[in-house]
Amino acid sequence: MQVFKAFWKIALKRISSIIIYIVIYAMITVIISSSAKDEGQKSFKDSVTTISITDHDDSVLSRGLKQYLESKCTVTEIADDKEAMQDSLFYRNVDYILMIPAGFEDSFLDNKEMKLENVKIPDSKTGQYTDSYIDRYLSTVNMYTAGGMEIDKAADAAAEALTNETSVTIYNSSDNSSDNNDLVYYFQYLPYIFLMVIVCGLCPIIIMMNSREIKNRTMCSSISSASRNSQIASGSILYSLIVWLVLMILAFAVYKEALFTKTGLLFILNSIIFLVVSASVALLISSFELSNMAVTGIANVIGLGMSFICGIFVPQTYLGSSLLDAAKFLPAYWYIKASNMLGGACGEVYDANEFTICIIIQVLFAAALFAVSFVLSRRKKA
Amino acid sequence: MADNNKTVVKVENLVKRYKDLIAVDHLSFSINEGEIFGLLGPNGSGKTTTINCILSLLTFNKGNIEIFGKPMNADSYDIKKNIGIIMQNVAVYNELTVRENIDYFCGLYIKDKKERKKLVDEAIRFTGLEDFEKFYPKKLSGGLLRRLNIACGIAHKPKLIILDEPTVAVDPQSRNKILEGIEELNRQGATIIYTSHYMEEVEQLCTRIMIMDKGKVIATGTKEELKKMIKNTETITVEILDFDKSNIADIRQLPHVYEVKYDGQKLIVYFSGGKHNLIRVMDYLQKNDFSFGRVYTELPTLNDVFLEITGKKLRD
Repeated sequence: MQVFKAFWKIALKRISSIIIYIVIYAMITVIISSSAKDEGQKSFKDSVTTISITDHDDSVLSRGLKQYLESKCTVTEIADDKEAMQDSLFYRNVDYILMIPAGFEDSFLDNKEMKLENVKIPDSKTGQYTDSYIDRYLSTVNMYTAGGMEIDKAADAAAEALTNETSVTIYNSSDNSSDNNDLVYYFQYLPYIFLMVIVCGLCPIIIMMNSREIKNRTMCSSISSASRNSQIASGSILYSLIVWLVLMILAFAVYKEALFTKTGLLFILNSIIFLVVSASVALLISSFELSNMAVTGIANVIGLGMSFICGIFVPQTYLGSSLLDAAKFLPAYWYIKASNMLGGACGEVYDANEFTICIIIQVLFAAALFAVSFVLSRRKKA
Repeated sequence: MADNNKTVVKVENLVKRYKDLIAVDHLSFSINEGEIFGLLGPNGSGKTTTINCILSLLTFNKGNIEIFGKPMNADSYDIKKNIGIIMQNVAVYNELTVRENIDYFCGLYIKDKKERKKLVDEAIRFTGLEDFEKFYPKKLSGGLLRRLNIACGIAHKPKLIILDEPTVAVDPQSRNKILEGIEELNRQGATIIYTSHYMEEVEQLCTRIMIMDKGKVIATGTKEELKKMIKNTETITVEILDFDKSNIADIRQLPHVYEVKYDGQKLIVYFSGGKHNLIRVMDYLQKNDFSFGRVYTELPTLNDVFLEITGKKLRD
């Protein structure tokens, strides 16, 4: 076990930088997940549009419309001339100016087309929002009058009908959805920390142990090549498992029982698979005789690259379709997709088959990377 | 030195090719117990390749290698436990201290912790690294690093020690310390294979020398035997003014002279055998009233042997 012991002696001497990575990661993920939780609870706020109405019709319908809009928007008075209206819009004193032309009610009842005039900020959300209120009111009145109701009664009925609010409850098929949302934040950043800690921690040790001089000296001793390789492999596996275990203990400390729900266990499974992927990446990098600086540089390129392309730092919903298509060739994409499914994030819904596919693809990536490393090591020997 | 002619290393007809390049070309030699066997040759002559083949670090195309009377291959762990190797490049862990490094490499052979501690202490004392036990290799000078490299190779007290250019880029003080150490290891009973392209070291240290070039054996023997292989036995150089052709012809007539050169106010006379050669040259100069400056005489070196056999210098 001499090689294994030396592996750990060296690993422990490099532990400080690994601890720094884990502590920073823990702080950032816990802070982000708790702030995201607060945001989620307060995120809905009804926005109110400021509008102005100039009524040249002064009919039952126009007054009813005005009354309805007053209940939905903030109505302010502005002078009835073009320049004053333009100034008010320019200075954003109002978002929308509605002008009801004379004879509007008569045209409405005769089913003749008379458009309401408006001045609004082009392509603005507030303009579309106000248009939808007006359409909603007029189509409701139209429904009543078409049924034979008088205009004054139809206006009252419409006003009453539109005061009814519909209560909406979002149904989430996964269990403990609020806890899962927290878990998805924690597990979302895990690939980055796995890649950094495992590549930066393992690669320099493996590279050093496989350097020609050290390897030759070891191969000249009475220890067999198989024993030497298995001791390095055992050290690497144990190192990876300890990193994983530390991060899982941290998850348990923060999220407690949520980790042991069905979804929590699937999160854990997904993380183990990505741990294997990270180890395979580390092994591939170790196939080249690189300096510590070069290893750190490569770890950053791979870690940050995957993080930005695959949706670790930026949610997949915000990424362009072509970028996501490219990301499908990276294992982190499938990890994040599986994680999003479990947490119901980015519009993903859990589907056992799709989740299994994500896991299988990650396993295939790891197998491919291990195979390439094996081929490289054979070529080196030859 | 104990020499009872028991063969420790036997190499027969060894051939190692790298595609079209023949690195070792039908090499045969044997090393007896207690010898300090020198492998001398210029860079690229095949010394390190030969060593790597002996150690089974390289596969070879043809030939047989026996160590301690048994065929050597990659799985010969019973043979390997009696071999110590000190490579050309320093092979230590930068993350381990001097003591940890020696302990690690010794531990590849010796499992018992107590015994290992004793051996590590001895290796540290032997290489004079007592004051640097807790130092990391990066903090050591080039000479100390080489001593650490040696300590890692000899801590388990091997019967056969292979040193591949152990003094490259080492200061003279550390070099002397290393060479003294090698002689001491030999006195303690170890058989030593020493490769170098520094002929002075090989001459000083080795009991038997094999000169290699382009993967082939040029000559093998003790340094005296090797020097006897060449024509030159002594070269006398005299700083002298106005020496003309008739004088050169006179010098050429002296007994045992086979070559005379006069170039840059230096008269160089080459002798093949004979005694009192310097006296004869001095007599001639005094009789003919030549005034001369410095006079020096040189005995042939291994470089002369190499030069005469291959037509080029060892360090070309």
